[in-house]
Amino acid sequence: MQIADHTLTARQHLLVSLCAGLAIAPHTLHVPLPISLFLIFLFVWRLTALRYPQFQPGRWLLVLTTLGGVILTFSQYHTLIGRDAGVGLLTVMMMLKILEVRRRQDLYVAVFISYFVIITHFLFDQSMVMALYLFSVMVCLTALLIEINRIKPSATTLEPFVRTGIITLQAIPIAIVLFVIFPRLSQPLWNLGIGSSGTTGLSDRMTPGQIAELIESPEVAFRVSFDTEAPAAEQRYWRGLVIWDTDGHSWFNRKDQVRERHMQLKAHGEHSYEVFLEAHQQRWLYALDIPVSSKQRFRLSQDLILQRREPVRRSLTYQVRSTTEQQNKVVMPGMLQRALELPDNVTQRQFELVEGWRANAKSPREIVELALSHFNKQPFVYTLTPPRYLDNPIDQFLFDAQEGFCEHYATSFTQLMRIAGIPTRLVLGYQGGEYNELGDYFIIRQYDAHAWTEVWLEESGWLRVDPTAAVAPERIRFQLRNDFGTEGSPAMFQLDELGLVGSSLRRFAHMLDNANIQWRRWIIGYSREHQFSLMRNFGFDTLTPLQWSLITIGLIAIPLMLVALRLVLSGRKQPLPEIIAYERFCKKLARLGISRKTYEGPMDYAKRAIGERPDLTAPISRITALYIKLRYGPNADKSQSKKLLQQVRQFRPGRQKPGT
Amino acid sequence: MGPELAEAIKAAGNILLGKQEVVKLSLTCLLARGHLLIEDVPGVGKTTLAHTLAHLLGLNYQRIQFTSDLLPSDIIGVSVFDTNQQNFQFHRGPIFAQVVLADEINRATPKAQSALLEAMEERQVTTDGATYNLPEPFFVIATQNPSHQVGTFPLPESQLDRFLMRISIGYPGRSAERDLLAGGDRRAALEDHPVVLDSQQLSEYQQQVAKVHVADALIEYCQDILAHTRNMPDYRLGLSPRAGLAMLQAARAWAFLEDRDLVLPEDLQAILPATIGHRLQTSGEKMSVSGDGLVKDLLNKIPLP
Repeated sequence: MQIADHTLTARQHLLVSLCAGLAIAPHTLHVPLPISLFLIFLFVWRLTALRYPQFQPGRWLLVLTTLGGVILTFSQYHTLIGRDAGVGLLTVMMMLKILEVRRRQDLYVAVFISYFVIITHFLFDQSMVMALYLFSVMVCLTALLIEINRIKPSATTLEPFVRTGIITLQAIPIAIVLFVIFPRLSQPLWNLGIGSSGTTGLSDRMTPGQIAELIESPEVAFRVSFDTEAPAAEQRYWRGLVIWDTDGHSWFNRKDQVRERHMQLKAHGEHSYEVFLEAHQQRWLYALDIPVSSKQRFRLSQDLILQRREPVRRSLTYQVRSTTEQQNKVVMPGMLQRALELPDNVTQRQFELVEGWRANAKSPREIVELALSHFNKQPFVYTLTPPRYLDNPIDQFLFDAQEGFCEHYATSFTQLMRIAGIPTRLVLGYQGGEYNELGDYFIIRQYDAHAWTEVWLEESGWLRVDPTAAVAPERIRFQLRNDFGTEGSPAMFQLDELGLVGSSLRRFAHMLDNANIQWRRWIIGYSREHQFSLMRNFGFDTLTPLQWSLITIGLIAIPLMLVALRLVLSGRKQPLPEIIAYERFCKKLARLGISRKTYEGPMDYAKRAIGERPDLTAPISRITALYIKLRYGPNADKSQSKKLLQQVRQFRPGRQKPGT
Repeated sequence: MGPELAEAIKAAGNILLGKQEVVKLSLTCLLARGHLLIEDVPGVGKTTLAHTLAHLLGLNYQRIQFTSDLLPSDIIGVSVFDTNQQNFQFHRGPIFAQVVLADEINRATPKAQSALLEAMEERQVTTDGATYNLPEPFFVIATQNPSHQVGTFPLPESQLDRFLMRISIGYPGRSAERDLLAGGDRRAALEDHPVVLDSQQLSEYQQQVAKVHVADALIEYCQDILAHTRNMPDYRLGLSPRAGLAMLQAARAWAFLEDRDLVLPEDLQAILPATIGHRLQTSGEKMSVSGDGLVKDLLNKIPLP
């Protein structure tokens, strides 16, 4: 067989450098800045050396650079193992390998390391965009591999890509089958003790102005897809956490007061939906007010908050049932006391205001109504840019500025109700959400963050009261508009009056978001549970997970073993030793510039070789005669083929003709 | 190879100046028990070649000039009623010779052609219910004018196949022609040359040729060539298994002349143009390429196994 020679063309050098650069590129965002700069430096060095070969580093410089790279990596991470340090080291080493690619073998190594580097990106980012990017890099690498394995370069650039396309298409069914049936770890690999940042949403301590900060962010908090009909906008309160205590300034839950009791609600829950929660580093999970149960058996705390043992460090999908119709009458000993506690800085004005309501009301319910109408009738302004209340936020807000935001209304309402002796607590979460008609789900963004209250009334239990709705009912029904006026100006609301450009932009954004969520839902989120439920649909429900795993491994391993066996067996049919020896002999002559043509017989070849190199007449004739005897003669003698091999081994022709 | 054969080749080379290769191929054909077709224009030495071979190898020689009115009985012989003995007596025709020169075979009608070709194949003649064996060795050298000349009946493919080889002699080189023109009568020179071999020895050599070893690797190579002609669209018709047998037979004889007891790929390559040139029919764009060039082209495409 004709093997192409081992040197590479300048074009192949450039291509392998570019492909490897593409494979590494996204890692420059993960590794520390010095390593990123080092990688870029190496890459530029490589490109320069390709253009001007005098810059190609020698052996010792390369060793020094490698050592420097290891030291740099270690100095950044103080270790060389683990995800981050490992990837740092891998990228540095790979770039160094690219720098020293010289021969065909180096190139193979570089390409296969690139394949590996591609996989490591998924440790950081599993988004669809990244997958598409890495897929295209993989295609480039494979095309490169095809191209360098050709004896003749392809006629067009497209040709190796077409070939890669065919190979990829052939591989896709296998990939799908493996994806669906291959036993999965109960947790994805990239979650093994690995933290990921993600944006944080609401925190468990609320100081005035905190939600206003969140409101500026269009980041997605979570998405919700309803199995049943979605409730109307004014019913879509996404319960996050309940806050009980205050020091007169900020609101929080005192650690010693928190009792970890868990509930089992008997209610049915007429809303069934799936939540795709972004990482928010907290233990609570958002659910439609009020959650009843979750498929994942998350715990429901006594104030009806869905909770997980671990903070949500990566995006999470869960199914919940909620009810918007039933009443929440869960009350625990001490709970009502806690919902009546007041801070020290309650002023006389507040007592007087509440006294006025109490005098006119016959029942707690009427007090609540009076309070709400107070907010409605007084010139309260709903604004995203309220003045800063520093001394006594609630008092200043209620009587001086009267400009505020949901958190101001909710906190002050809570405090007033407590003064009136009605147990009240603060609920934080989100409200509303944008409907994505393409994917039939709601997107809840940070600017949907909201605060409201729950009051305890004997007859109805905990009742949701949203004082913001009394001031700015549009807040509940429409989206907030994301442009902020000057300080103190009333907030604007987004109505469905978008122009053509606006609506098509929104449509495009929805499309993108939908594609992303479906990706996450079906590809990233395809978990062990999904796998088993799928298998149950095919009637494999009698199998335990372990049995299923063993069967799938068997199903994959047996064909692989058969293929391997066939390869081993076909490998047995080794070419005859005399052919191997003769080929080696031809290769040696080819190095002198006398390569055998494929159709050339041994005698003709020997004649030609002797014609070119008369000084080698004796060994060439001897080897050729022996080969002819072994290959074409009768009764081949095995020991003779060893002799031939020996003669070929001893055949070491000098490169130069003697005397020239 | 015995010294006699080398001597024969040398002597024939002296008669047909500058045509060593042609002489060697003809001898190969004879040793392989095949018949030879020489296709060339008149006057380049076809008859001389036949005559030379017959003389040097000590074989008796007959010449049949084919014409359009030639009858089969003119070749095979005729039964004549003997009035003395009151029965039919078979008078042997010119075909009863060890070397038969069938001159300008394509001038005769197909009927006469097939009479000769049948005799060639069977190595016997059957007429009036009686069978007569032809002498041993029996070697037909047919000549034909290039088929596009006027008044010819081209041999059909099936009959071309009966010839082991087809060669053409070609004009001599300039220096060879000068020697030819300056020298004396070639025929006279031939008559003076002693006979180098007798038919007994020739038969022995023919038997030795059959024993020359053909390795599996070579058979594989031969098969590759056959397969190639069958699979490529360049050829209207691939080579037959008979062509394969002919190739190996000729290669054996060539190797024998090269003084070897085993056949090398080179031997096969050497006899291939002469052996398959007339059996291959080209099609498509290869139509214009002539026999030899075509075979060389084919050889370069097939790697040795």
